[in-house]
Amino acid sequence: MKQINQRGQGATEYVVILAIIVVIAVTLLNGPFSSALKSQVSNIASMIGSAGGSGS
Amino acid sequence: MTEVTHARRRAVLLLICIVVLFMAIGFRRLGDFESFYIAGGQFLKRLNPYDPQLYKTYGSFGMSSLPPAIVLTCLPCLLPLYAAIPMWDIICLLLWSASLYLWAELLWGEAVDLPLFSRLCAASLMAPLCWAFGTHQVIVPVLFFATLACWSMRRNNSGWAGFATGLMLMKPHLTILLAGVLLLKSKRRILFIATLAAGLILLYLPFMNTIRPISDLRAWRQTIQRQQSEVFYLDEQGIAGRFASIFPLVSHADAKASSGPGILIPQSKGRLLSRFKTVFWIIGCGLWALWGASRYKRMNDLSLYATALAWSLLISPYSHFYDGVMLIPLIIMCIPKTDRFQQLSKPLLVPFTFNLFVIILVVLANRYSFYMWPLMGWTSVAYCAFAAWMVFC
Repeated sequence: MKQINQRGQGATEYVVILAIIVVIAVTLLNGPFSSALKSQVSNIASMIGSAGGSGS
Repeated sequence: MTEVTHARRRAVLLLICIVVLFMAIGFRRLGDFESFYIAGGQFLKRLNPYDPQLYKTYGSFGMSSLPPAIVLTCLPCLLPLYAAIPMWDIICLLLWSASLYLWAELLWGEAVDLPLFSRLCAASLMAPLCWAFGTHQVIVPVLFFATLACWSMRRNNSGWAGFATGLMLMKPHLTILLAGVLLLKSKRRILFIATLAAGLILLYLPFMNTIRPISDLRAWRQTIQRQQSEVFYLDEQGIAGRFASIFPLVSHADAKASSGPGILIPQSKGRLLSRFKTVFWIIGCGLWALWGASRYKRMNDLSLYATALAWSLLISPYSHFYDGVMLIPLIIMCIPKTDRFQQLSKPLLVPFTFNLFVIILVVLANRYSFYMWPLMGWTSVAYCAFAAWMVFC
């Protein structure tokens, strides 16, 4: 009986793992996340670099 | 191969999946880290991180986080941005794991094994937590400091509890009630207050005319005032914000056109909303004091701590979706103590399925933002309702 419970528990864990893998796949396949990132990064770099006059 | 080995393998696989999930959600996404990175870069150059001109490009009024958030995030800001973001995520991941481990130890009074720890991680895999990693926010360290404070208090170490309390007050609106409870529970209150002050001073010291003048905080105050009177956030977690969302503060078209949770509103409405939220917060604190006083001696310490965090979130005048991370202790408290979560399916599949639904919407937020933000707004209320159902039914 104990073995059956443990097997059942293992199956549920695999379902959870599968669900997480699906979310990871959806996340990585969802394109807009990375859009315009490069320009944003260069904007930030220039922002910090040119901020010398705002220290007061 | 024995069942123990199988269980350990499943646990490792589950943990790897969770780590990959967090990294995937935060992957190539700047989130709110851009403002932390700008502020951190300025701070490291001894320049004013609250200069509103710096944040104009991003449509933001300025830096709204308190100095402790800048001090805490400035270390990864020494690295290039592409390295700083994963570095910050790894720090948050470690602090989240440590928080769970400490809460498990508090609850069950013994060190947890790997299979149990992995299931605990799965149980606390809340959508707000995923969003905290997606936006690279500072809420996970706050959860860790709050946990450390509770853990130290349970061990009658008022000194460390006070110090951790000082650090967790970097988000005072979410932790002030817990700080009050810890102060009352402390057996050496003077030591607690002294170390709390030390923790607070440590984080504010750079802005006390040392590295930066205290006048920098004027810009912070102006940013907060503008945010309060000109912006309505669709993902507001407090009940006052939820009430406000029911009324037509913003037009349907404006909300649909918005890509983020913040929507500009007329100042007259914004000021009224701000006053309403402040009054609601004061009433909420009063109700907490009355409720807490009636339960103070009867209620388990840990339940009181977890409830204080949840209550703070629900009455908060300013909280976002990712701030729902502060409900993790409450969710963990709902795990049946008798079988210590051996039956994964029984109580936890309901919140897990709900989480999964919200997480998938979160990662698709760019496409379905109109439906996403209001759903995010009601999440903390839904979690608290679930926790109440678990406790009372």
